Amino acid sequence: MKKIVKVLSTAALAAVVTVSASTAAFAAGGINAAEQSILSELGTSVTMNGVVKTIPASYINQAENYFNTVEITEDQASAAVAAIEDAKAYLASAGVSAYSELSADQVNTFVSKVSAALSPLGLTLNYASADSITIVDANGNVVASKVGGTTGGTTAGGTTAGGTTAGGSTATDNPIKTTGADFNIPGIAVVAGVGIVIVSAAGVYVLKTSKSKNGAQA
Amino acid sequence: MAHRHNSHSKHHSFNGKNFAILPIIFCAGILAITYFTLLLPSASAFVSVGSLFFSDRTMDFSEEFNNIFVPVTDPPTESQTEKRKIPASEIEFPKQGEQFGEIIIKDCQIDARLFFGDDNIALNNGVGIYPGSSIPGYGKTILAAGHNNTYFNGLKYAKKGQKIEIKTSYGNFFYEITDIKIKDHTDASAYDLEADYENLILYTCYPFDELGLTPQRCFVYAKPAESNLEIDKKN
Repeated sequence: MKKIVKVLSTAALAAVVTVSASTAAFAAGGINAAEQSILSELGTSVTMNGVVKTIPASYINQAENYFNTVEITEDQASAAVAAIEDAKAYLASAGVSAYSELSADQVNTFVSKVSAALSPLGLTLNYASADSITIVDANGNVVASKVGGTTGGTTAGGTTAGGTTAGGSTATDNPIKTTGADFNIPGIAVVAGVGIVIVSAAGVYVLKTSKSKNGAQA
Repeated sequence: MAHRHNSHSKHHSFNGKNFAILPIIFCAGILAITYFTLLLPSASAFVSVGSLFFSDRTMDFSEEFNNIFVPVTDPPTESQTEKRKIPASEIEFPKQGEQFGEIIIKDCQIDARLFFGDDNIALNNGVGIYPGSSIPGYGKTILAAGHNNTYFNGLKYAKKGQKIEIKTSYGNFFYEITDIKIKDHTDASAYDLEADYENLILYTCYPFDELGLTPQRCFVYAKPAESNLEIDKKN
C-alpha cells in the first residue's frame, strides 16, 4: 500500500512539475494591457518642424511580436511609455524636419533616450550608426537589428520618427529581401579587372615579340 | 626609307586595333562564359566558393538554427468547418531565426522549412517570414521570402486557386492563392503591413531562373481558409 501511495505521489509531483514547466514556457503569450499601452504609444505620431512622422507598421509589428514572447508589467510599461514620450518630445523640439538632419550631438541624445525607453523592458540598444543598430534582450538574444542597409533601404511604408524606435524594433529596413543567388558584383569586377590586366600584358608581349621579329628580319 | 614607313604603319595598327580589340573580345568572352555558366544550377557551388574570395561583405558561416517545430498529432483538415480558437498563452511564439513550421504548396512542388526571420541562415535553409510582419493565426500580414533558385523556384507554377498549407506546432493553416504580381523590390504597394486581417504574401526574385541582383520580385497573394485556427491574442 505504501509503495502504491509513493508511486502515485511521485507521479502526481511529476505531473505538477511538468505542467508548471510547460505553463512557464508559454505563459508569456498574448498582449496584456501594459504591452498594449506601449504599442499604442508607438502608434502615435510626432511632428517635426510641421512634418508629421509616424513609426512604420513593421516596427510596431516587431514590438508586438516581441511582447508575444515576454510578459511586461504595468510598472515596466509606464516607465517605457514615459521614456518614449520624452524621446518624441525631443524630436519635436529638435528644430529639424527629419532624423537625418539631426546633428551628431542630437543623435547621441536621442539614442540615449531610446535606450532609456528600452531599459525598463530589459532590452539594450547597441547603436554604432544609423545603419548599424542592434537590440538585444537580457540573455543577449537579438530582438531586432539593422546592419549595413543591405536590403535596399526603403521603408515599410510611411515615415519614421527617427532611425530608431523605442519598442523593441530598430531602424529603417526594406521588408523585401534579395532572394536571388548570392551573386557578387564586386567579385565579377575583380575578375574582369584581372582579365584586362592579363590580356593587356599578353598584348604587350605580342607587340614586343612582333617588333623583335621585324627587327630580326630587317 | 620605304621599309621604315612600313614598320611604322604596322606599329600603328597594333595600337589602334589589335591592342584594343583583343582585350575587348577577351573580356566579352569571359563575361559571356561567366554569365551562361552561372545559369546552370550546378555552377552555384562554384559561385559560392568564388564569393568567399571576392566578397566585400562579412560572411556568416553558421548554418545552425533552433527548431521548435513539432507537427501536431491530430491535424485538422482543410474541409473542417468548425472555427477553432486557442489562447496565445498556449503558443510558443518563435524567436527570430527559429524554424517553427513547414510550408507546402503541392501544385508548385514546394515543401520547405518555415522560419521566423528572413536572414541568410533562414533563406539558405528554407522560407523566412519577415519579423516586421506576423505568423499564421494572428490576423495580420504574413510576408514570407524564399530564394528563386531553391525553395521558391516552384512559385513559377503558381496559379490562382491553388492551395497553400502551413504546418506549425500549434496547428495547420490553409490558404488559397488569389493573385500573382510582378513588382519592383522597392514597391511598397506590394504589401500592407498595417492590415488588420490575415493575408499571406510569398515572394521571390523574378525572373525565376535568373541569378544575380534582380530588381523585380514575384509576389503571390493568398487568403486564409475560413476554418483556419484563430489565436486569441488577449489571453
